[in-house]
Amino acid sequence: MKALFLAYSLEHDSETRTWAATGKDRHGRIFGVGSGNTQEAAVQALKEAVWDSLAADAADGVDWTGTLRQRPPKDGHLTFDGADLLPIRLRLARAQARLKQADMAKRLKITQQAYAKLERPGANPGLRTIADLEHAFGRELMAWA
Amino acid sequence: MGSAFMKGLELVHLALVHGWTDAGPGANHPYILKKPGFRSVPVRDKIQNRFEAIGILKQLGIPKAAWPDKLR
Repeated sequence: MKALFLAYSLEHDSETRTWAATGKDRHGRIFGVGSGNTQEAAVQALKEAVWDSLAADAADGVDWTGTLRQRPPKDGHLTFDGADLLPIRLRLARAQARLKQADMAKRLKITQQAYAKLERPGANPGLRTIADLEHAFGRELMAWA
Repeated sequence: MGSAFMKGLELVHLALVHGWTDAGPGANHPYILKKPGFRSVPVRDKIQNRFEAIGILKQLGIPKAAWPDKLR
């Protein structure tokens, strides 16, 4: 699966002594902002904000991953790899198929709770599970880029 | 409010006035603001600095004249 990238810039706020990371999509528009006591914390917060944004819209069948970059920019950037993107693509595929989590769970012969975990950040399904998901959706998920 | 610069709820209320809806919590944020045609904008409970607040307001497309005084 191809990774996608988001450029960001960092700013230090002397008033609060915290950092802010602001993401910019491939068109130069702001996409996400995160803050933290360190640069690393701010960048992690930015990644969580972008993930939540993509996931929320994917649940409505709207795919904004095309606004991320396909090549890493030279400066500071976030990487969204297959593990980051698969839960979003699952939400998108399910929304476009107009299925509920319970419907997918039934197709996969797992509990709804077990399926719900697959759509959360940090999900790391094995190859068998991915193959089962692709069969259940009738479409490739890992090659979808 | 601890060390927060401002409350996320203040930005959420402003967003609601400008046509956004609160779609409820995401995996990492208590508020996910939605408006057709726009990318969703997640908002945390506590906004840590002015850059975070301004970044959210810009994504929401809220005109500067409507921003809280401390951000203008």
